[in-house]
Amino acid sequence: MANWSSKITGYYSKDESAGKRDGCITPALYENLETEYRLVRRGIGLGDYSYYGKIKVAGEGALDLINRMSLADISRVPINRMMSSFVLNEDGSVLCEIYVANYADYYLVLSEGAGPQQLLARLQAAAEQQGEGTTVMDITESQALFGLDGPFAWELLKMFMGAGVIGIRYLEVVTGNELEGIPFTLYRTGKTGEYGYLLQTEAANAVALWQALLQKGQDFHLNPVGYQTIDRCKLENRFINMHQEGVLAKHVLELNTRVMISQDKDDYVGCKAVEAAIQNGIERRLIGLVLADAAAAQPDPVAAGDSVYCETEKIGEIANAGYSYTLQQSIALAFIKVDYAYVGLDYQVQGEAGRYQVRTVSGPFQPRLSSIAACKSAHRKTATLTRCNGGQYRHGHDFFLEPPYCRHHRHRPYLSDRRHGGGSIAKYPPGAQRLQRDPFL
Amino acid sequence: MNEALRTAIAKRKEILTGIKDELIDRLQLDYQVDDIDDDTFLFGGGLSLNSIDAMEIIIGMQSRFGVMLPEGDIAAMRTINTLADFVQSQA
Repeated sequence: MANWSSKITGYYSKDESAGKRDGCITPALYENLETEYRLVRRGIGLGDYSYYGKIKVAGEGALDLINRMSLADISRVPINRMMSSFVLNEDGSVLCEIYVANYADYYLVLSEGAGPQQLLARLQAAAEQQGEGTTVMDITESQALFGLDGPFAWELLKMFMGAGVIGIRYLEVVTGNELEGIPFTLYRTGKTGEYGYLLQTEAANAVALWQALLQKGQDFHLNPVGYQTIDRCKLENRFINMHQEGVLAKHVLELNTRVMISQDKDDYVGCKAVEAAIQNGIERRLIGLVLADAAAAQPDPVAAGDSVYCETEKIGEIANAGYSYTLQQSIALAFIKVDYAYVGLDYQVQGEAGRYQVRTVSGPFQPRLSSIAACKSAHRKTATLTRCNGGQYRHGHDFFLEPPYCRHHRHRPYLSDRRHGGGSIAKYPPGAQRLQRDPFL
Repeated sequence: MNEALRTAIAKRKEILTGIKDELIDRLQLDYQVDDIDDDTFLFGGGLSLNSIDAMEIIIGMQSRFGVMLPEGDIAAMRTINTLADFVQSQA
């Protein structure tokens, strides 16, 4: 499959210079990283995930076929649920990350990290070996996939799907939905630490659904976000980025994925390498670092590939790095020798412009699941946005997101437009409620 | 590796092992201590625990380490490591 453009890329008249992922031309950013980041953290970010590979596997042998490719045991996925897993190479490194959705009649594999044609080729080859009874079909370009991420994502969906949206469990699949007559399937997912959903529709309906979401989401400050924004949120929340640490991992167990392995699962690609690693141990594993050094207060002081030292001994390499707008400091992930990969230790990173002091920290970096969940720790009762000024809520004053129901978080600088020269007005539907629950429960 | 670092790592390992052992025992998880990475998420992915398990974690931390996780302190219950951070912060 050559490079292709999603319908949304075409809608914004973007070309390859805007960005490309897994062979799909799709914008890395629509505006700028900080603006889009704040959208995800306090409103809703609308992302185009159409670049995900989408492969339908049907027939009697479908489960065995996918399980032969998957690290996790797919037989544990109930109907209308999905599971996150990895497809490995024989040496135990990762080809791609997958979601496998069980539609009863077939499985849909959503992949990220490798061009869909690579996974397709593997599945087709395995299907041929298996003989008749299993069909593998690539529907990547005929289906669009959008993401809604942010503390208000569920409220937007509630407007046209009803209050039952909040009952949808993490990794649940809900079919038969419509927005303005456009059918879509909803997946409860999310890798940003906020409420997250994927919406799948026919590619022919992609632009219409995108426009309808933009229109419906106006009151929630919904705007498009590119994949770089989602990547930064993933980094803060320690979700694996298949285009950074995922591709740099020499072995899947370096990514802290041990609990994903099923002891009673049949053979799968990479199984021998995984068993050997369990038996003999791995050399390094991924751990979070924060750059506490004042000298690191510059854009991107460290980058993937930079070396990590304990005094004079090289103990690892940076795998991913970026600035956390929430923590207001540079953060990084590094593959560190397992004997040194513990939290609360001080090491050094040799960046391009100098050597910086770093401290190992627990994952995730982002201390809050969402502003909603953060409110939970301070309050016990359901929070309701209090209307002021005729149903309008003012950023940067005591109304938007935090107060009046969460006075504990007034000090959060990233939530206050006032400190960033803002002060715009946001409208919310009268009586809109914010839930106080963990997005993953 | 110097002595101070070695000591800090040994102390952390002891707490991490204690937490994993307590969770496996209390929640009857089908894992061994070595099966659980330090940065394994407790909810959602990872161990896929639920809100009822959260209460057991609070009780388990009090029972094993004598520390009281405030009910609803989600930030401390994200991963094994964040639980260990909390235990160490209370020492």
